[in-house]
Amino acid sequence: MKPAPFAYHRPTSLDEALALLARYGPDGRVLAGGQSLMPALNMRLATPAALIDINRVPGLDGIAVEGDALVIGALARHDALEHSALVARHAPLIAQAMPHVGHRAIRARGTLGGSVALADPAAELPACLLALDAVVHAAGPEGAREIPAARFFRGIYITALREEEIVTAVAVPWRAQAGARASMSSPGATATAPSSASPRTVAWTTASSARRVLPSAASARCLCVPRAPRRPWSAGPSSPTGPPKRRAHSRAIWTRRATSTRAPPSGDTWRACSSPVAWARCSVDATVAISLTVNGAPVRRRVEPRQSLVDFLRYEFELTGSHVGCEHGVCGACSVRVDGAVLRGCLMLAVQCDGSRVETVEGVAATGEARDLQQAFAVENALQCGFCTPGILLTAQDVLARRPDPSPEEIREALSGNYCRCTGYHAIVAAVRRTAEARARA
Amino acid sequence: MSRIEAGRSYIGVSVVRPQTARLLGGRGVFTDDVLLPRMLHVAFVRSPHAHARIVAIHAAEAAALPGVAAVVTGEAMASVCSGWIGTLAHFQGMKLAMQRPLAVGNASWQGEPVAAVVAESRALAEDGVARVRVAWEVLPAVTDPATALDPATPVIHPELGDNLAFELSLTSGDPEAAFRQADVVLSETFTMGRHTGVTLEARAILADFDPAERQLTVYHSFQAPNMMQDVRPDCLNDWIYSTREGREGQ
Repeated sequence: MKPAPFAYHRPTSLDEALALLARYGPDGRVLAGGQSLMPALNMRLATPAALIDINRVPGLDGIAVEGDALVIGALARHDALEHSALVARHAPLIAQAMPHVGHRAIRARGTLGGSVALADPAAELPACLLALDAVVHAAGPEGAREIPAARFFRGIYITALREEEIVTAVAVPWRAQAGARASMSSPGATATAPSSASPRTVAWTTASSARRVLPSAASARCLCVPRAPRRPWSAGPSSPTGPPKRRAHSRAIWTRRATSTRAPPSGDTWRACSSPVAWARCSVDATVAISLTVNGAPVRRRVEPRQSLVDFLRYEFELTGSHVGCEHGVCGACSVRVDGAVLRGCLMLAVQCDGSRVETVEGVAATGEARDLQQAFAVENALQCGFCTPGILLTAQDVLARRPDPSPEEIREALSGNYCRCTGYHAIVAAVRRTAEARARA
Repeated sequence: MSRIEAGRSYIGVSVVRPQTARLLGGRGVFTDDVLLPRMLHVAFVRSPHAHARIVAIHAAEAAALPGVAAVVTGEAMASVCSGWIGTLAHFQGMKLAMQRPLAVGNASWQGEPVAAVVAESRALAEDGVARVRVAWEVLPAVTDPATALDPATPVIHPELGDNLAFELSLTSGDPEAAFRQADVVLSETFTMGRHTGVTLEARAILADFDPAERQLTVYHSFQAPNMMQDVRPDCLNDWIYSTREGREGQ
């Protein structure tokens, strides 16, 4: 479950990113939030020669009303969409769909542009944008292009985006949606929706909740339109297996892999690695120098681009409290804090943390900021084998920082991305509640 | 009879487990947390087929990869480690094929390991796996227990004679008479998926062999280390003088 080697680039402008994408062609992949791409890399379902990390391209994360559309930048994170007042006002469907995307740690990192460009149905956004008649803005060597969602999404993980293009924003028309918003907030009010509504608006007003509109929009218009492969499936390593969703995913990736050329481009990034670190000894990759703080201490290292943040912490610093469980963002055992946000250590590369403040359970234990929470876990016996506990502690501390008096339901929702296979969660919820009550009294 | 007073007995009193402080501080030592000198990592080449003959394994490219220490095939492994037949003494008549660390000749389930790549990191070992090429002759798979004993169904393990692992028939009273006398007899077939408990800590094993002492120390994420301590010397013949096993957690 470790990615194949790739080169890493961190452009600081859109033009630079587009130039890199043009240079690598089909072997270059754009890295945004990484919450859909990193699992595919970890499972080696995707093996790009280079990642072009656009997280530090400025100006791509805005949310603003422009004319009769709400324009959301590609780097706007799911978390920002969930809590933006503008999104809540002008595109409430998106705001209401966001809590259904992964878990908080996923939403803190995942982006609108990534979900759109990869057409990942688990991100809910493809179906939302389809229902809202949104327009996808893409930039490429030929300039900017605007693609209506109905033409953009061609199937699960398949879009009309060209290999040399980057999604820059999504424009959601909002003027015509007043009636639709009314029905979203009061499910029984469908009959009062404007009769002059467009087909899109009708589909929306007849749904009483985001949960209902998403599958209907998806099945009717988006998710069952397979694209003919350019080569037979047998070009892949073997026949796709598993549930239909995963088969489609694998097919798309294997097709791309089978139809792409693997010759590495020339350039200084491809010089042979001479790092003394054992795992960096590979012929097609180069280490990258990063500096960051780990549990408050400034550190500098050279890292292989493919190394995940959690492996970096475990192998470079022997901080083995953050555990490696599923390695595709599901279990939460690898949870770490990056610049104050609890994230998946398996879905973020160490090289992306250049300049960041990284904290692990060992650091939190050392500062004593969660001593009461740790004590409550002990008193409530909220752990058995203890494998998941570091991730759950960090997530619980994050919940309490965001919401000092969470209800048991809110605690369960917040911890839904952290699996525990021993205790059955009751004691964990009780420990978080006990801590909240004690802190309220203090 | 008087109540036992709280504080004077463990009965009726919540007791904080002594190891919680360590686990809550991120100081637990699970198998993957153990770091030893000269540690190598292994990744496996697995069968993509439920039943297939291994025609050839081309491992030279993987073995030449920098950082790869060895590529081991089933034949090479069989010379140092025999297999294990996991029958249980209290299931009289149970028969199972010998399960080897790596398949020899045939793979009989999808995912069965057929070669091991040992390297200086897990990532490098996986790089090696991606470079091992296996030539397969795909054989008919047996996936339906309802037809597994039909004469037309191929026998997966020829040395066992058929595909029947174990048969147990329990009868109490006279069920035939009960059915005959019943007012209504309902017949229904139920289908259910296979379930298994899976820990969050993935399967992991770390083996440390000291040739000077001829001692093998094994750390693994498995609930019965003492059982393994009994099994392992049997498989490894006289390679081991003594074993120690350990596990964090439960």
